[in-house]
Amino acid sequence: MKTSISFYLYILLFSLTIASSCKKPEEDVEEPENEFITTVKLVVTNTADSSDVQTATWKQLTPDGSNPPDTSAAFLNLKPGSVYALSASFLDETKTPTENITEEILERATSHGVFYIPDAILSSNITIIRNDVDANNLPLGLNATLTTGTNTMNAFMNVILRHQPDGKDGTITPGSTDADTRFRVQIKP
Amino acid sequence: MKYVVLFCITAIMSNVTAQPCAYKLSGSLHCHNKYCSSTSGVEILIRETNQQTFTDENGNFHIQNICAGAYHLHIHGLGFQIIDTTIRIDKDIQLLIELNPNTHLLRSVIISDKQSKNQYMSSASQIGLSADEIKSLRGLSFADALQTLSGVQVLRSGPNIAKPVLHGMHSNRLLLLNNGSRLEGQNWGNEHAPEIDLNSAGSIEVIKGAASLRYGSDAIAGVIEVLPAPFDTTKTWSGFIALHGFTNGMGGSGSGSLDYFKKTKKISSSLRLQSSYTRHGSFNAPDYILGNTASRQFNQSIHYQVVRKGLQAELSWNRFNSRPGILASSHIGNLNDLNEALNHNKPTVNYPFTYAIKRPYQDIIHQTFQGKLTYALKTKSHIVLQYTHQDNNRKEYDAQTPFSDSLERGAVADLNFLLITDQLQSRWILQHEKHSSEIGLALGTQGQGFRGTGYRSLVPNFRSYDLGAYSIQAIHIKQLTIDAGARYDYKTINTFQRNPISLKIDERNMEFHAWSFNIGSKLVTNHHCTLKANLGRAWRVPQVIELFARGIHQGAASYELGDSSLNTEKALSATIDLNYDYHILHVHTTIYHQYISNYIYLRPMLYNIQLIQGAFPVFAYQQTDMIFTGADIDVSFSWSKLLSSSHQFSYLYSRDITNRKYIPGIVPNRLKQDLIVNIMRKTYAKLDFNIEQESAFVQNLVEPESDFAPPPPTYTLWNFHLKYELITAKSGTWFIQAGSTNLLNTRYRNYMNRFRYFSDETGRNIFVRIQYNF
Repeated sequence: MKTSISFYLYILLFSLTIASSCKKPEEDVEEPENEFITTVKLVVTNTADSSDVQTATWKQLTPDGSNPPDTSAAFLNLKPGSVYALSASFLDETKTPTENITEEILERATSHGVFYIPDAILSSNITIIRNDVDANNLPLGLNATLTTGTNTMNAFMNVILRHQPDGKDGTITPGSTDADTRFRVQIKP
Repeated sequence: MKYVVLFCITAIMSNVTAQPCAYKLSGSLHCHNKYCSSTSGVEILIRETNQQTFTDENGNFHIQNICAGAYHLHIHGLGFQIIDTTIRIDKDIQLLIELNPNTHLLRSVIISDKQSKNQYMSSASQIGLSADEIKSLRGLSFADALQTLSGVQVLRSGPNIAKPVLHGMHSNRLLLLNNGSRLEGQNWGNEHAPEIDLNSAGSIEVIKGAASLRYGSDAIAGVIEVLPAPFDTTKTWSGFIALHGFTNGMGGSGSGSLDYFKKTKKISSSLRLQSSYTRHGSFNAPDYILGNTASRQFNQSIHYQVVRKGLQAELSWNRFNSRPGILASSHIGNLNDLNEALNHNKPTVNYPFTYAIKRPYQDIIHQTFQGKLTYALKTKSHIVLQYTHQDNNRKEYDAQTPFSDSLERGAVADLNFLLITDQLQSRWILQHEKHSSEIGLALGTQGQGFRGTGYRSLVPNFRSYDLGAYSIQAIHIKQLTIDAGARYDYKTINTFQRNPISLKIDERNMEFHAWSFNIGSKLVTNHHCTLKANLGRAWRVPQVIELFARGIHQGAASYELGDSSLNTEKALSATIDLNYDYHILHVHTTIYHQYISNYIYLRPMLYNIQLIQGAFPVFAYQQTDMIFTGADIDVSFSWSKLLSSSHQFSYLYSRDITNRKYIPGIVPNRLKQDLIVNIMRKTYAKLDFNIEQESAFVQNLVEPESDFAPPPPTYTLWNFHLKYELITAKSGTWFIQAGSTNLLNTRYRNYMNRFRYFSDETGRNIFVRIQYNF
């Protein structure tokens, strides 16, 4: 009897060992399948002159920060006293072809908001009005109207994508930041 | 303190020249059965001489000036079966008496010499929670229950996630054992709570300091051991049902256990089925609801045991499943978000009360399979062979559903770790009156896989193999025990990490090996005093996260950087432990000093990294030399039969001695005091009233500008409860407890809460517990 109990247990232990050794979780090193915001892209079109189209991008192709961001093209060149239609897009450029995350933000419009925060000096000389809304009639901000003042200047503006799953009220306060990028804005005739 | 030690020494000196009528009978009463009531106030009577005493609150007793001879000993206590036995006294005797709860059945009583229990680690400072104490903590998390012990504090991430901190250290420096096997969960993370169900524990023991060699070299702070309740071998069916309801979070929990025992001529077998379920909605701070703090937990276990003569075989399975919601206001993006949160003294959004668990949340499943064989050899020795398989799956869901074309994106966790561990341990234990010895060998392998969002792989996949061998020897000379042990460990880790740019898998191999040792002594003088001293060396392999972290730590607004060149961390720990009893006074003090070289910690680098999410302060894992010096002082008084009080104070000083700086996150000093009134005490029932004061002092040992906000100020909380126990004629026991924590609804913030920047702690909670044992 004694031997049969221990024999039974040994068999069980042995089979457990075998069963567990089959499972090798560490060999399952997955390719990244989700999309990450790597690029914030702004396209502005002069409403008075459809040939005056400016494109600015802020990109960081390594979302873990192993390489610094590329801000060389994060630059808008605008004319004073003009009205521009602005459209913002968010991309994952690590994918081929490039994934457009803007569509997913649009799908989740009630929990997102894009905000344009010019630096103090710039804010006196630029007006940005967001003109798209979500299902709750709160501003989304993927499209905006940008009006430049008459002064010439070279300053900065932050483009911020906020994730606001609770308490979205049109202000920047609730939620957390998904993207916070800084663009140089030049206003010059 | 010096005088007390001196007193201990003189006491043993006088003991050597004992006269014929100067013998002492001392000992302690224990009851490991889960039907036990407190072993305090039990009467001990020597019938022949009418010498009588009562046990103190820890179940200890002592009678002095006994002449040599044979006596009848009578032991009688509330809720216990009366013991009448004979005892021969021709020397000082110390007894360990196991009591059985009072029932109509005749039960066996085991009286054994005290020294046979845990003698290998007898020099280690030890405290614990008994079955009786666990009864009044059901429904709490494992860490919150342990916090009632002197020297144990809690590191939280909001109200749902708590992990124990011992002597200022936690996570990988504090070893958790569940029924004799190391708990192998994702214990590296500050927001990763231990995967243990308090309801499955029969008792819990905490060994302070680097005093345990049996389970590994890495128990720098100590060991927390969870032991299952022993099977009741007097009844066919036994068990308990417990219910717990509470107002803060409008939650409840239920747990139950059913034991079946069967004995044939040669074989006795026992089976236990156990389960527990907890659910609650959002918690309240005094002024607002803590958003998304609902949680649920559902655990099960099966335990089977066969005993035949000298052979005992055990098989067990347990499953732990917890889904805690993470405080919504703690979910922030970059440094600007954090500063914005710090500028508000309450969350900017008014969250509603709900039972729904929304993103962000965690979902953890931990399963353990265990087989254990114990075989007693003829020569007062036994062999233990134990195999454990653990499966840990930790899923973390961020506030934001991942951006993905995949249809199942809502169900995909952002972080999904699968950790599989297999351990095989064997040990040979010899127990002689004057000498005891233990030799053991342990083999283990562990593999970790990661799924989820590729760039967010905080830690790479790995496979590790380890081997450890140890020996512990102890000699017992009268009241003195001296023990010494050594252990050798070898560990190899292979890591696999996908390069974020080339997408190729980088493979790396690391090897670590070192010795650890331990030496200690225990001196039991007369009944008044037990003095223990222990010196231990422990070491710890850097964790994979410490080596390879690279990325944003969610909810912490920080960017963490690992360092693959980190070395092993080595600790030298000295602990002195004193137990002193005199009349109404009971003192238990632990004093410790640790020197840790290559101590790994997260250092603020004082620069920011620019990511697309904004600017993040950089924290890097670095090494330094640290000291930890502290004391846990536990004093209690039995003022009268009606009134007793207890006073706990924990003090800790720690400093980085290389850089001459303080490091962040060290537990503040704490004071806890209880006043207990025995309102009613009869042979079949008792009623206690308990009022408790709990204070945590402001942590002043911080460097200026090293934290996002200064440490929160000192706070004091008041708690109270009423406890009623009743033994029914049908040998069942009822336990009813009602009370309130944070009675005054005090607003406070806790330095040991990682989310202290975002919200207050929970407010007043009124609770009821009912338990029926049969």
